[in-house]
Amino acid sequence: MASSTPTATTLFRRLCWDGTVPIEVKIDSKELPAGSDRTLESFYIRAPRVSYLPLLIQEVKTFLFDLVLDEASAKDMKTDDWWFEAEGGALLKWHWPVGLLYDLHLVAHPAPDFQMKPFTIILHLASPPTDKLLFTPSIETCKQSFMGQLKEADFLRWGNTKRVTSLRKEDQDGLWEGIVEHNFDDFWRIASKIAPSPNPLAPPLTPNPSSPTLPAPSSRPASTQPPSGSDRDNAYSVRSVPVRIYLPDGPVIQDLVPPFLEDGLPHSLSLFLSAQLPLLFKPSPTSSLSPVDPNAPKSNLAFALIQGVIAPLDCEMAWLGACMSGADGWVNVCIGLEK
Amino acid sequence: MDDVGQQEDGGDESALSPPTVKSQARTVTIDQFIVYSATFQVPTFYFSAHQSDGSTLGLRDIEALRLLNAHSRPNSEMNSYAITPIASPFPLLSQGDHPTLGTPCWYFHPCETSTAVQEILNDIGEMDWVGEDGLARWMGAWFSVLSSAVDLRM
Repeated sequence: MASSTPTATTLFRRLCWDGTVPIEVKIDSKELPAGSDRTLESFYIRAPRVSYLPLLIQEVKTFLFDLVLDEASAKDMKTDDWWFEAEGGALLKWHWPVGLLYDLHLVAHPAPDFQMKPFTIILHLASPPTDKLLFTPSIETCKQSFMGQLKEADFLRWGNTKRVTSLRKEDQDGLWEGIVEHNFDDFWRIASKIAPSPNPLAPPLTPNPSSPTLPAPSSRPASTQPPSGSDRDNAYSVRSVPVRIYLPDGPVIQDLVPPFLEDGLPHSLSLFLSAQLPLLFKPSPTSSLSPVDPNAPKSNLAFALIQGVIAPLDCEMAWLGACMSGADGWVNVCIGLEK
Repeated sequence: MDDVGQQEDGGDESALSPPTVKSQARTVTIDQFIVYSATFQVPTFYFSAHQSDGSTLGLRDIEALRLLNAHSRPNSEMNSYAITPIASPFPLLSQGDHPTLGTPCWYFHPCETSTAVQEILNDIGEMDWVGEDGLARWMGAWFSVLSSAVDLRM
């Protein structure tokens, strides 16, 4: 991994982009109009991990209109009141990428042999719960949320949002279009202008242990000009890798993730997780600086699922940020408990 | 609006109502939070507003409550899900998950917060505050910035 070439980066990005998850959409039959074919209650989709539930609505609409509803109902059906629920009643966060929803479901409901079973979601056609759902799942709000995540990832990496905000409007829109059309080339033609690339041979940051804030990126000159398209922004000179940890039924954890630690070592997944979740992940053998917590486990009680793959704990965080992030720039780590 | 809006603390706003319609009072609950943004490393203001039957208020209803100060806002556009400056595709105010509760809230995007607070501190002219005193004064300046956007008396 330390000798990744740009070709390997593209390969991993392609693998993440092409990843799909199986979803079973069950329609609440109480809400189907009279005259519908009720024997076809379930609809299976292979959804791209980088997509979002509101984008799947079109496919579901086609199925409903072609196979379930009769002509009169199909004409009257509006999608404005549609909303999603996970089996079991949890409201689904439709502004989260589908891959994340799936992985979180997987770690919260582990199958005995870790099979990729379809994730069942229930589509309601009416009466969205306005007390819990602040907004109905529209493509516009989804796009806005996606752009917001891109901006946050940009800020974490470089201390400013210039890379995203200085993209031309057609490029900003083009990123979202790439997701909607699920086109890898269209998306990455623009995303490569703002995404970091791994080059661990670059000199590490000078650590500044007494500073309460993040150190400045090493190789960037103090310039107010936005970077040119040909700059290869190095994943190892970011201030912090955009990472979030998701616990089953738990809160979302976000903390600073510098690519190198104070002792100059690359920040690995093992070091990161044993620091964030010391009761689940045993201390990394290389973290010689801190005393061993007597409550720390002797072997790992949990594992990390990233893009549906159990990630080896010696992965470097900077590398994950460049190669295994979602389309919105974030590395989503779902924590599952070992049996 | 034909309703008379009434805040939790008992104050009420009068509103226009046609003479033949009896206006109805309603109670609006506004939950306000100050949450630290892990990304932008600054405090961020989150809020949600709902009626006594539990239904949440959309932006236009919130605007009618005069919770948000429209006059100090840069020229912006409001729709049902965001307030966005005309000059930018990125919103000032939009919806997001509360970072610890996970519930949907409205929040002010914090990317300009540091700059705005720094301007106030520069104006005051005292740059050498450190420690807890420094942090308290920073928060004071932060509340000034916030109060230009939100009516904090509510």
